[in-house]
Amino acid sequence: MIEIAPVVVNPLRVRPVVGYQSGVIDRRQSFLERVVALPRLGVGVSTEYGAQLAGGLDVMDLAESAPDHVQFLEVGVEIAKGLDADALAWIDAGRPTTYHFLDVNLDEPDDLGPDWLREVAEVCRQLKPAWLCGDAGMWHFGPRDRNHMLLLPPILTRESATDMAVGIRRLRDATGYEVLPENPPGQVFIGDMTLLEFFAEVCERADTGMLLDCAHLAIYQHLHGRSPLEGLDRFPLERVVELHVAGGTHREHDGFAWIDDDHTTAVSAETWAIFDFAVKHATNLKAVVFECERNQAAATEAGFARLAETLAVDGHMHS
Amino acid sequence: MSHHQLQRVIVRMLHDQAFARAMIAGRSDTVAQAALSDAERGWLQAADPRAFAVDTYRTSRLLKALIDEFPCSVARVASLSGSSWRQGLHDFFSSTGFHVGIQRRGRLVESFAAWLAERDDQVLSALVALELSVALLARQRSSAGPGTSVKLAAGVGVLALPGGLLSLVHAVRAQLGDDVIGALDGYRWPPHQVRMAEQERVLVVAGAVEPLGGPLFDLLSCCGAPGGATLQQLIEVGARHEATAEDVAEIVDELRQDGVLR
Ligand SMILES: [Fe+2]
Repeated sequence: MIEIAPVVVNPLRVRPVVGYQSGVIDRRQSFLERVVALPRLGVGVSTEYGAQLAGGLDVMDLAESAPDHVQFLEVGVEIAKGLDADALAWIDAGRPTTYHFLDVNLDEPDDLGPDWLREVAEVCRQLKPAWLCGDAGMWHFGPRDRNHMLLLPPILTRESATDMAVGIRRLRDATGYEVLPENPPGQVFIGDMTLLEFFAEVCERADTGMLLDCAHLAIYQHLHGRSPLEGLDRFPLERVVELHVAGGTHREHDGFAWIDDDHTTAVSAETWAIFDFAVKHATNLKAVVFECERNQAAATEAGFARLAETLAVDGHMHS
Repeated sequence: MSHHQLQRVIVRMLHDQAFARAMIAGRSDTVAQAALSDAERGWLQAADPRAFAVDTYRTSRLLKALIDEFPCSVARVASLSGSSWRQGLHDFFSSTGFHVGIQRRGRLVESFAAWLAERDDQVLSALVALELSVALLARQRSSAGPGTSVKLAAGVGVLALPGGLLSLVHAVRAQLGDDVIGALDGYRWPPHQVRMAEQERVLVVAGAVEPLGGPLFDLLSCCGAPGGATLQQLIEVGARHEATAEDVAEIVDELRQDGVLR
């Protein structure tokens, strides 16, 4: 008998929304009402300033050769550096983007000053992103600065969640774009809430959606000896708009086991378990990023195929 | 303690392992100094000290970034401290200046500059002051709205340096080349004289430091005042150097085109 392989249609494969710009948030609507208007972006990759020059992925090339893998680009933005040639070429081609900030401590009011907000608005005019997103943690200490190479998770307390929510609202009001906090990676998490409790609180208080980084969550759960899915059943997954998937490396320091979030293509079983669960339950999922920007295209094939498999079964992205 | 203060304690622990161990062990002087609440102390003491040390290159990386901005100052320190310069620089992360700077939300370049300048050496102090000015100018972002006044563009500054310092800087930079850290072992200080009693005026644009004549220095200093300068004020400055109002307007125009003024 000849078996016919099922045709895997990626449900995320939709006509890209080009030039989407919200610009105005209807304050009378709750996030769960507003989320309906957010475009469905599908599967994408992320990039940082100069990533390709540093030997990373050629996103334009990949978008041409494997359009299913790169339906949008998540552009990592540090205002002091601006947009690199790859990002500009992508925008010029009229392709969809999201704006991933790399330079704001959302819980620090001084970090969201008028000059920075003005420059963010300027970049938004260029990028026309579907939304803003990024790790809600500490990107720098002291006033905004380059070269700190720091990203720490927030202090997991109610007070900190409240301040984070204020910052998210402020950035959203200033830009007119939804601002989706992402759970950062880390080896030290301090406070009296779990990471998921903390972000549930942030999302509720800011009335916003969430970018759930499955690899970062797997790192957190592993560090605390929890199973990958622990607490996810109580998390408001309907607020999750975007998912990140990335590979990491198990390392040891002085007998202390930790996972390095180094964005390899070796995605762990724990990360996939979180991804599969999230795809199944995130009813407002619009975008998935495979954070493979530091790798060559050939090495990313298996990861993209695995993403597509889950999305084919459970993907239900609403445009 | 607010979560911001607690977060800053964690930043200090990540950069200073001895401090991290003392904090986690609950050594009373360290804990009292950080003014932690009982709950916060409990959270920190429950942490694994090794978790603060997994990034073994954290301080070296940060130090490299600082050396990139203070190459001449660091070369001066290296030439003063001989073969121990490397460890000497790492001591920054256990210095009071580093810890207080982080806790008060200060700029790292400023804490580092102040720490370098603690050494009793006039030439070093002058180098640090210059490199700190350049570092701070590089962080300036243009602020909103075109005003009516004439101002220095973001990242542009005018400075008065001790005589001979600029040629010393050029000589040291040429010797160090691009691999500053590589050049520091056994570094020999050039025999340039710095004349502290004299003044040399310079313009800083996009990280480059160039000599500046007296009339231009006076004009640009006027533009560098808070709020900038009016054209009338600049014309008055010009008159002191026998420049006509037309000359001044022309110079301002040219400097605007060159991105020195806005
Ligand atoms: Fe991520």
